[in-house]
Amino acid sequence: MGDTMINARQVSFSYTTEEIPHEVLGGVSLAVEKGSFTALLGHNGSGKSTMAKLFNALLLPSGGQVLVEDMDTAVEANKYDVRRAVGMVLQNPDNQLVSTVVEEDVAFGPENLGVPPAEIRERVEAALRAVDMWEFREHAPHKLSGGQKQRVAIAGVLAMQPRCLVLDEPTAMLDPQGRREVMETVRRLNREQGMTVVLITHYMEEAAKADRVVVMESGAVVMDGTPREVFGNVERLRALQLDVPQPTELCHVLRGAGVALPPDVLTVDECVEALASMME
Amino acid sequence: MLRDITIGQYFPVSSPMHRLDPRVKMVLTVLYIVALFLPKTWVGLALSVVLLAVAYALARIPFSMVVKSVRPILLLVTLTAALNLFYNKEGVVLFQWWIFTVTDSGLAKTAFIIVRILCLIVGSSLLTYTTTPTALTDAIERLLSPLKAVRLNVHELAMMMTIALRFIPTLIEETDKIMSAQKARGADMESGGLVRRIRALLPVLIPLFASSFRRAYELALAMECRCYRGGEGRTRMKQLRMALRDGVALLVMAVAIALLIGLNSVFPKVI
Amino acid sequence: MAILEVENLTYAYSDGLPTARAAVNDVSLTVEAGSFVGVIGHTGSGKSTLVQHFNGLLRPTAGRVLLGGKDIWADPKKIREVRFRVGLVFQYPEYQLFEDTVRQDIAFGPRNMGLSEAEVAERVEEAAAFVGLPAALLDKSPFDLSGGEKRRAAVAGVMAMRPEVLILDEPTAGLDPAGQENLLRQVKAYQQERGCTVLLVSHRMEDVARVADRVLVMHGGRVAMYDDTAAVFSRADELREIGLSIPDVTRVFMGLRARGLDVGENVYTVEQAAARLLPLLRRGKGE
Repeated sequence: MGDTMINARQVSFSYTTEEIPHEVLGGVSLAVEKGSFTALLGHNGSGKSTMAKLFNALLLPSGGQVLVEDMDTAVEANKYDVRRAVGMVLQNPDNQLVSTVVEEDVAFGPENLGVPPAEIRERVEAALRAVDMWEFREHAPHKLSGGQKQRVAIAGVLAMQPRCLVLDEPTAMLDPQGRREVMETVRRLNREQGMTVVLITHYMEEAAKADRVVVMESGAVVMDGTPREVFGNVERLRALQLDVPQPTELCHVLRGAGVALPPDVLTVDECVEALASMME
Repeated sequence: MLRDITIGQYFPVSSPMHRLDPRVKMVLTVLYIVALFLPKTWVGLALSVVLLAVAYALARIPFSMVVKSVRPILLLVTLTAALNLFYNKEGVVLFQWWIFTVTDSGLAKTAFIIVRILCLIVGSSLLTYTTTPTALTDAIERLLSPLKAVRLNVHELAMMMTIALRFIPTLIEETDKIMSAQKARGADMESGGLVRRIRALLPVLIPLFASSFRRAYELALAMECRCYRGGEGRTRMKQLRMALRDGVALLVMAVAIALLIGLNSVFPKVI
Repeated sequence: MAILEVENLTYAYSDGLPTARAAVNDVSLTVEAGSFVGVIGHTGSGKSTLVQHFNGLLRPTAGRVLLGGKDIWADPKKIREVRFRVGLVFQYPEYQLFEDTVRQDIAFGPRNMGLSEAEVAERVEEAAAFVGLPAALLDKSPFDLSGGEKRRAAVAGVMAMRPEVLILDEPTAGLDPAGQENLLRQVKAYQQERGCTVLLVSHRMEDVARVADRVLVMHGGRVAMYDDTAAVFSRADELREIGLSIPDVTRVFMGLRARGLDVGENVYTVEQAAARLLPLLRRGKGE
């Protein structure tokens, strides 16, 4: 079990409004390996955001168990250790920054943990450098761009020195520039610092960069594999109301018309390569 | 552009006054306000003006900012002056008309009081000119921390101030956006009587409240994610430390207060 | 026939101060009645500022905006009428919903126009149908709808004014792929059925490519390009240079051309790409 960051076992979650029970998750099992980059896909209401909140004890399962580094999230005594281990970044960057100065905001987490002042300084600097926002440490958050704010939010989580980052649609409200900045930051953290990443998104280009893609639908995992395996199944994704990266879709359409292209084309370069080799 | 607004009136230059410990600046401001009520002689009053002028010079705040801080209270000053002038019946009568009487001592006292009020306003503005709202919040939290003994949750008070400072610009921007959006749907906010205008604000206020609740919910969630659990066991990255200049500033103030008291028995009293 | 004409429009923030900077700088352009114009540009390019001049929410620092040949600021008192003729849907418009029911909220615009209740009711039904809001939802509180439904209700609120020009600022931002696809289709159908003019501001080129017949590219407060969709996307290299992301299939075609393959230009949707490539691939196989 030493290599598993998060282990969800037969997790169910439901809530009741006006005495009508709603089941959001119905017995989902999912294990996230340490150091991996997992993308969680699904259209709105598929249960993917609920899943994320279960990963750091913001929500507790109605049935089953969520283990974070073998700690049961349902045990009250584990709550803060779980949240230190699994840092969470939310969708709207405006609503997760607490302070009027960037560096003080990043310090907020370690301050809550009671870290000594000198060490907080070090952590804040390391976190801001990791997201490339060190020069902005004395700025006011409301004057930053969306992508910059989201990077500060990531730094705020990094300063707690988590082993895993869960990002709940962190790019949904950003422009392409901001989206690129955030994705580059997240990928760098995964590659260079071995940070485990769970990225919830509905942008397929982003999911294509993960090592593993998990697709959810009506509170269950319906597809799970490498991006190539998952995106190769164009029909299935379409049925689930999800997009497919354009290069993959192009090759799929061409294959349907009888052109012998490989089924696992994902990126622009691969697509160019595959097509060129057929035409030259 | 609206997002460029800044809260408070912080004047961003580098000066010895800006670098003073915010706690010391707050204490100095309170002391100065108290000290303003000590002098009863022209010389004493002149000393408090000189003290303020030196402080402003040290803070590198231009004179136009001083004028700016006084402008909003001019009406109040005029009113106070008028009342003082006409209610004072002592001394030699200089001028009389209907129920109004102006005496020489009345004139002197009025002038004295005007200078005193102006010093009060200009003096407290110096605190906000040289201290960021964040530093002020910090100073308040630390200065009030003895009140924890009487069960006042100083940490929560400071946290609320910080969050308010953080979200005011965001909400102003949002208000502007919602107003534009409703205007685009033909909302008429510029005409009609009072009742109509208040009714016309509903399409702005309701979405604004709805969005504030949403923001508050998400912020609470984010704070929980970052292990926030109140002031207990919390440390702070920024430590406030008193430096030599803070000691010097307090000393100067102490000397000034002693002088102001002493001068009262040396020179003729005005008040 | 031109519906909107912009003449040397400049807009500067905090005018009069030395820090004033032009958000829109000397822009002139004409929008033909009945056209579907995509407006693209990255954040800060001036695209949102520009379109807020078209319904008089912003007043130009210099220059004029003509609607149907008349200066919209000729009589500032009548600017509300301009807003009924040029409907603007803001970014994240769901946050402006405020009435007790969805029906009331969609009716807000038409009521402000002073229409009869019968007319208002008819327009609400029509607009709700355009965005595919089922009748059952109309009597619910707008705050009880899902994110996608709220968005559609907000768009319907502007459509119900039956504007001659409909402007949408990033209407699909934050929606899931199915929601984005639906909304775009509905807007396109609305435009074709009502024969009105639509301006769609977006940074998703794929979206613009699918629905627009003309594309306006803003960069640094100026018009970088304004041409037929095909002509604009054929300048993919320039678009990338000014920091815009272009559709992946367009990049595939750029890659193929770079390899010396004669696949042609102007491809920005998967359908176009497949149609272009199939004969070439079949020919290659036949030889």
